[in-house]
Amino acid sequence: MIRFFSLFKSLYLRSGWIFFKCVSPLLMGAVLALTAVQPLTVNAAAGEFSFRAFNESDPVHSESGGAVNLSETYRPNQITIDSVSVDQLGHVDYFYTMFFDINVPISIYGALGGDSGYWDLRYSLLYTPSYVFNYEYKGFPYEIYNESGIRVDVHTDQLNFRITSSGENRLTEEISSRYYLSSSANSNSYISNYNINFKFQVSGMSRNHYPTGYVTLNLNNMRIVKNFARLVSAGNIPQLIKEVDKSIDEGNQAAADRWEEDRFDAEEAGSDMTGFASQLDNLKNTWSILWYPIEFTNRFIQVFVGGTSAAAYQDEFAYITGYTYNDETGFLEPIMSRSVQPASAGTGITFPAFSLMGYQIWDSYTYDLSQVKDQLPVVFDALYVIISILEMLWFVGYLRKKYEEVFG
Amino acid sequence: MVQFIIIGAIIAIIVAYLLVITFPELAPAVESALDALIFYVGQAIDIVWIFVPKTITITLMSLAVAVEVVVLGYKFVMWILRKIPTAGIS
Repeated sequence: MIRFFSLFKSLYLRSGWIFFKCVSPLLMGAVLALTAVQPLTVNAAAGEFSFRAFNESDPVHSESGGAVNLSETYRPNQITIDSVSVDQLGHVDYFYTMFFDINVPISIYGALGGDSGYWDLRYSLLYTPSYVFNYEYKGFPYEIYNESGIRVDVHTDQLNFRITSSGENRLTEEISSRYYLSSSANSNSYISNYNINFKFQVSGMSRNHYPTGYVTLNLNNMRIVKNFARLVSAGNIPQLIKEVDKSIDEGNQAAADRWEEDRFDAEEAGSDMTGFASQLDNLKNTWSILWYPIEFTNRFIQVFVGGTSAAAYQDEFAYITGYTYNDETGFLEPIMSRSVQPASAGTGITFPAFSLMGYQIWDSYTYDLSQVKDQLPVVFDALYVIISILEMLWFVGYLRKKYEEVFG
Repeated sequence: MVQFIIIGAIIAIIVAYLLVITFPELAPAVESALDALIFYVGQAIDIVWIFVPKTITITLMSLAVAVEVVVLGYKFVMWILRKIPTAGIS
């Protein structure tokens, strides 16, 4: 038993290796990467995949129980998979979705008479991805038409869905339905062709692990087997990848052309703007004396309001302790210091050191006036009230004066 | 069309003249003196704001400046209106 599983595992791995050789993961990754950027669905050409339904024991005749021996009148027909599409699902690096659109044309000989008949359709999906995640299955036959294109009145009362087995590397699901043909819809047909169409999707599979299994259809014991792996690897995917690669190349080329054109336009515009900006700079430099009063007023107001703690003041006068007159240049040159912070020096009053006949009477001493405010808060509050009243009186008088000035 | 050409030519001439005009730069000595003035104002104003209520003072000064601007604007408008004989403003 162990040897059997080892053999199976070896065969499985070898088939997987061949499979990945046929479908390059890199190319598939390119497709999925493209779909990550822009949702994309690639579709195979209709009829590209086809196989014949067969019955292993008796391809033509097979008995089955039921009200109508549909199996006796069943003629194997070609089953076509109209389209297989690949689409992204969630994170494209890990998962994708495959959509299958399968048609099963069948021919029924013999009149159904006035009684209703039924047949059983059961199909199962077996695939063996190495990793199954977030498996989702949707599939149902939903429309049946006769050869004239008239939809046949079909209904089903059985729709079973079950997982027959599951495991780490294998998952088998089966769905079965019983379909009824009503007498009114097909009472006089002797030979009828029907087309069973059903769609299903398998999603949530790893991009590197395509479903390698079978779709098995059982139509009254008429087994129809579709190799899942061949559907993916030997068919349309490489061709689709080529088409997508081609579209990617074309898109890249178009984007490169657009980028080159935009760059050229931007360079031209930038050149024009540079010239214009240069002219503006020249104009500003040659006319700087005209708006210097405005600039000076702005600086003065900022310092007047904020004092030494104003940002503009600290940016401009950081580490400057004073100014000294230079006789040679005629400039007032700043005295720089790396240790004095101007913000803390604004309220300080420095008493210089005093020396007499070589003896230093007292040392230099700096007193911070702001300490007075903290030491005598009541006095300063009273002072603020008095000054506020005086300022308000001044302002009222100012308004009165301006009123008289304007209105007489 | 002719009007636009004339207006454009006038604008071009004005712009050309403005670009040609070059004002002298501010003397470096004056600039250094003004910098020193700003510096000492900053040093002094800290002491002022110890004894003077800053908020109400700044507010009233701003209002006073605004009133001054309004008055000047009013006077300017009236000066123009007085130039119009039909307005009858003396």
